[in-house]
Amino acid sequence: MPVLQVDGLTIRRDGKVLIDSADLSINAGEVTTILGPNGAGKSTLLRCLSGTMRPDQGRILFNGRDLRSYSASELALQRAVLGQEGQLAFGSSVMDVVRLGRIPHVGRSTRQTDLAAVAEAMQVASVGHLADRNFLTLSGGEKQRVHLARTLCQLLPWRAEATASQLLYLDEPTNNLDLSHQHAVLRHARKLSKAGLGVVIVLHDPNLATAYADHVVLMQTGRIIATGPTDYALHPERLSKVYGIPMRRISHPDYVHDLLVPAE
Amino acid sequence: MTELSPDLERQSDLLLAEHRRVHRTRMQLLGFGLLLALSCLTSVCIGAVAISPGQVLGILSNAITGVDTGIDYGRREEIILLAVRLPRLLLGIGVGAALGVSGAVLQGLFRNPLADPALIGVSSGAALGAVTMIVLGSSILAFLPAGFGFYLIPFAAFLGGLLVTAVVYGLAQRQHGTDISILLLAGVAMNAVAAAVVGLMMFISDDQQLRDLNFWMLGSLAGATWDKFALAIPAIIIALAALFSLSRFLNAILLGEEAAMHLGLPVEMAKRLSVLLVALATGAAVSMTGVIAFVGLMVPHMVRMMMGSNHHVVLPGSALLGATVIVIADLLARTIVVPADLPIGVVMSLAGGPFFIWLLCRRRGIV
Amino acid sequence: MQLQGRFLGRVVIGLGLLAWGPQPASAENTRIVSIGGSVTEIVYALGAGSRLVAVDQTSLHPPEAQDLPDVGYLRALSAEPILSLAPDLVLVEADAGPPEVLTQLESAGVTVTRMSDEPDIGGVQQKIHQVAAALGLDDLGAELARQVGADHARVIAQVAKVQTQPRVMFVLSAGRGAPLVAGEGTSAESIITLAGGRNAITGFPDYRPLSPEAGVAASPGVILVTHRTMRLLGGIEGLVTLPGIIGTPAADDRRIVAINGLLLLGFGPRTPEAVAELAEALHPGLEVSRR
Repeated sequence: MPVLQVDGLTIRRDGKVLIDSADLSINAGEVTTILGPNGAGKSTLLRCLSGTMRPDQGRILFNGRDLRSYSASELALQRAVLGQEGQLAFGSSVMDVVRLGRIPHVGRSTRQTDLAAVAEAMQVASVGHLADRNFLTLSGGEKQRVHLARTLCQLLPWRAEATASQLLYLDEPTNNLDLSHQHAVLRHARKLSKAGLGVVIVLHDPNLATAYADHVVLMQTGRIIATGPTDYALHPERLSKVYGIPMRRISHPDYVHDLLVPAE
Repeated sequence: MTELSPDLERQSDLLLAEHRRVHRTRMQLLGFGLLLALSCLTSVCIGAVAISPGQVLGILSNAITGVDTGIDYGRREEIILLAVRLPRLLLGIGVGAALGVSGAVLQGLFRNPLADPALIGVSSGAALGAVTMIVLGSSILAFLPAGFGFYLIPFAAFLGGLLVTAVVYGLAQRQHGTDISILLLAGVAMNAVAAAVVGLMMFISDDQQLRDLNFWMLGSLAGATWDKFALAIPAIIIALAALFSLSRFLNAILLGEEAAMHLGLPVEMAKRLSVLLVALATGAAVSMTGVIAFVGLMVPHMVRMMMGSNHHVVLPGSALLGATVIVIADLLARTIVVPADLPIGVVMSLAGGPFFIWLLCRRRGIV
Repeated sequence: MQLQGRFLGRVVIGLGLLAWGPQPASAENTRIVSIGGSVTEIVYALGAGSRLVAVDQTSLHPPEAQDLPDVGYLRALSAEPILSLAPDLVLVEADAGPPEVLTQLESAGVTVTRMSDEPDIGGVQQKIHQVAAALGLDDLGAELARQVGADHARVIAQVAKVQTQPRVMFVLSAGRGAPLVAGEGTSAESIITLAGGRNAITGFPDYRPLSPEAGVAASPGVILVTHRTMRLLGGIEGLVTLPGIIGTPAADDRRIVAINGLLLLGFGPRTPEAVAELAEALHPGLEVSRR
């Protein structure tokens, strides 16, 4: 059974249809990426799936339960979201920033557990060595990894049965990062999915999706064009239509994954 | 799952670092507390009439427990300490704590270090409320039992502060944070309106109330009495205690509102509650002492520089340091031109103006 | 060009006014505006009250002065309301202003006569002479000045017999901050000294907010206020609980003296009366005969 099941999801704002009866499902232990050109409704869809935005029509089942029946604090223990906004108003140590991810656990967990979770999350996101640094002095890639650790420790500690019911949402986590950091963040995400977590990532670049996603939701102007295994969903013909330029798939002897490139 | 198992060594490192940090924070708060105690002691002894620490002890012990310590002091010292200096000191502590914490909360809420109750017009709004009540008060008071007016003015100050905070917050709020230019412009507008209304009051009255303009615009603790203390302090304590309990929310809002929502916090409610409580604390303070600028700007800034951004320590730190700053500023206000009394706002603005400019330069990377 | 034109226009108007010229002060002045309580009192004392067309807010005595149109507060005058009454003479006290307004009045062709203001009996007599001269009533003025001088001498001779010199603190107002009290060189200090008292507050000139502690330290035996201040502060009981007053000997003994503000500080023809009234209040048992 999928962790998240979406049927006929529709969102309207100011008379415009932002999401038009979307159906999709998200599985535990997989990386699902939401892909599409600008204005396709990727972030809006993510907001709905994470429970931040209420749909106008349709139903979202999260672990078999209507998403609307979750309280905010209940939801915070079941899913974590790494948003696009990454700047901090005031200087703060990396450790303190990561610890904010433990807020949903206040009263439910011991200080020992909290620290263990923080340590683990920082290790997974490779920011353990930055613990005492001031967040504001970090590079863009480091900041993004600190936020990843912060988001992650919200879902810790790992317990096989619990982790399989949790979801991690990343909204364009590769924005403003250079190539090596883009891959580092997505590698971390993939590692998490291998540990049993369901991971949903909004991405721009189809090639990052082919490299890291198990499952792709391809969107265009509020509609889901295709949803399925990466190779199926990112068929060059489909991509050509969605992005409005001819695309083709080429294989490269040194790469495991095919490359999607403009045909001209 | 082996690849995700925690590194035990790193974990114990973090635990150690955490203990060190908690210890350091405690020591810093203790230091702030000692600093406040020291400035209170100094303030209690110095003034138009010097009172020795021994005499202070003697007077207090006699007044509180009725025990005569045998320490020699005159009736003049007793009157000055008990009727003038002590209520002024204690009211100053309350007002300083209220302004310091209000500043820290507004800065956290607006996610901007330039938010200060006086700068963005909250204090002016409170002063406006109080002044309006004083001007229109006589006609309203005619229908109320005697003595009620005493409570009406702080209430009006609270309403004025609340209105301005709500308007400023509503205007300045943008999808991703706060529009700082709107925040400051709203402050400029509010301060101008307040100055105009107070000026109007001055125009309606004459010479005799002219100096009340000074009081509202520059603040003074000279009018402190036990009655005023008893009226303002409960409101301030309630507001501060409630604001302290919002520390976690203020920490989360550091990441932005949506991120705070993702952490499962009732963001809208907490925002409204913060605004309400800041208005209560600022209103109570302003109705008693007039507008004292820059405390809410300088104090949280210094505390953040020393202690970081964790509001669990920033708020108590701001309360202690705010109280200390006001106690020292008031000590200066009542001693440098003795026997006259400077408005405390003059002292604060002389220190705060340059500080604000330094802050702006630093933000632009000049310093 | 436009600026120049405007400037020229002003010059032409100015010249025109000059040609028309201010009226010389003489007995023909029949439309007089009097600014300042003591000046108005003198005008009435000289029997010229019927020539007044307006007074300012501080002109409260004699009572019939209050029936005249009011041109506002003496420190915050405005030219137009005064000009609209078409006065030929404006008598102003030394404090009146702002100075620009007086200049505007003069440039509009009105004679403005400023009175000197020394807070002693010589100053009062000089003021009487000046007002009388402006009204063309020099003889009447001389007579009034002589009479006031004689009254004053009589009162002072009686006050001189007292042995004590109580310390008096004059409180001008007390709003929400520090009380505003009279320091050195104020008219309040002058009248206190004349009435055989001593100003309890030294250390600053003019009227300043007093540190409440300094008020207690000065330990005044008497608090002097105007009737109006007394009323605003809630009577004696309201007054004695104010910071700076509470705990003083004056507050403990309820020695609060309230006197009409204009009588006390006006330094007009009624000053001997004010000295006598204050002296009686400061020295219980003393009776001063006025005539």
